[in-house]
Amino acid sequence: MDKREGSAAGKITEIRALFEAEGETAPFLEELFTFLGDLIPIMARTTSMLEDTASAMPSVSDSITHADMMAEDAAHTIMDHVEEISTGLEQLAETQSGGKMKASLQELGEKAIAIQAALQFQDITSQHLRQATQILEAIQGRTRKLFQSLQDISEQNELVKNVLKAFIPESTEEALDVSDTIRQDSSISQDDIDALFSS
Amino acid sequence: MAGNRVLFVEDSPTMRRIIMNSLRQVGFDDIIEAENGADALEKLAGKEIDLVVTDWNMPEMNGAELVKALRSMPEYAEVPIVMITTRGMKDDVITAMKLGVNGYVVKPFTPEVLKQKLSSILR
Repeated sequence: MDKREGSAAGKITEIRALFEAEGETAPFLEELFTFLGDLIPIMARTTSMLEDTASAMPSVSDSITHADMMAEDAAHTIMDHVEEISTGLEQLAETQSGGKMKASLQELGEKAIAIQAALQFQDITSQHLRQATQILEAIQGRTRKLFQSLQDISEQNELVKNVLKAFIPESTEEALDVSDTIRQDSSISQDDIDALFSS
Repeated sequence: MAGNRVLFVEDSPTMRRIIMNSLRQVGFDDIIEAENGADALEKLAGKEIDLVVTDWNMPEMNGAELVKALRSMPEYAEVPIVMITTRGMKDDVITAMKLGVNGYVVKPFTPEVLKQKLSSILR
């Protein structure tokens, strides 16, 4: 039993004592106190997990952003080299009047272009990472809002206040909106797009 | 090819380099480059263009808003517009068509697909 769990259990025992008349409690109250007693360990664990998750979120968001920036830098370094290779291959191909060598150089040039095109993954990954970060930040904000709501309820009701007091950390941050989501759950193929435009 | 001046709008530096190279290979050597719709309209400033290539998801003014703005201007009402985007849902394509987009390419694309699309639109 952790500190908060023990504290909440103690509060319930105190409240229960208030309702006791000649050593007995009304049956429905007895059931309520038993229910609250069972609920407390679950609430304590849930609160602890939520707190751990919420506190880890900012560093996770920062790590994602950092990884995204590193990936972009790497993509540009690759592109720099591929562009140099492409230019070199073009210049070499120009020195050839024809034949197998020129064809091979041109083929290699096309492969270099294909490598560059494959680097689109960086932008696409980046968009998905940004979306994931937005979602993480929204969850963090909403978790804090949930704690705040519980706090507000506890301030209006003495019984709830006593039970919840031990669980609720202080927070006032607002949740962030998640916008411009990339939906790819049922993407359309390029052939289908072309068919739409030609219909 | 009718002309070779293109307005190219894309916020990602990586995608800008990739698509710029593809545009040059197709024969566009006069490229007006912009980072979003608002930047594009500012740089365009009444200049004649033969083609617009634009992304959809961009900050400030997105591609759909840019297309709407261009189609409302008499001088750009008929200019071919190709949208290159990660938005790959059928609804997105239909929305783009209704706005007046002439060609639509979903990322990631191969250089061949982009070349074919540009060539068929400008034919």
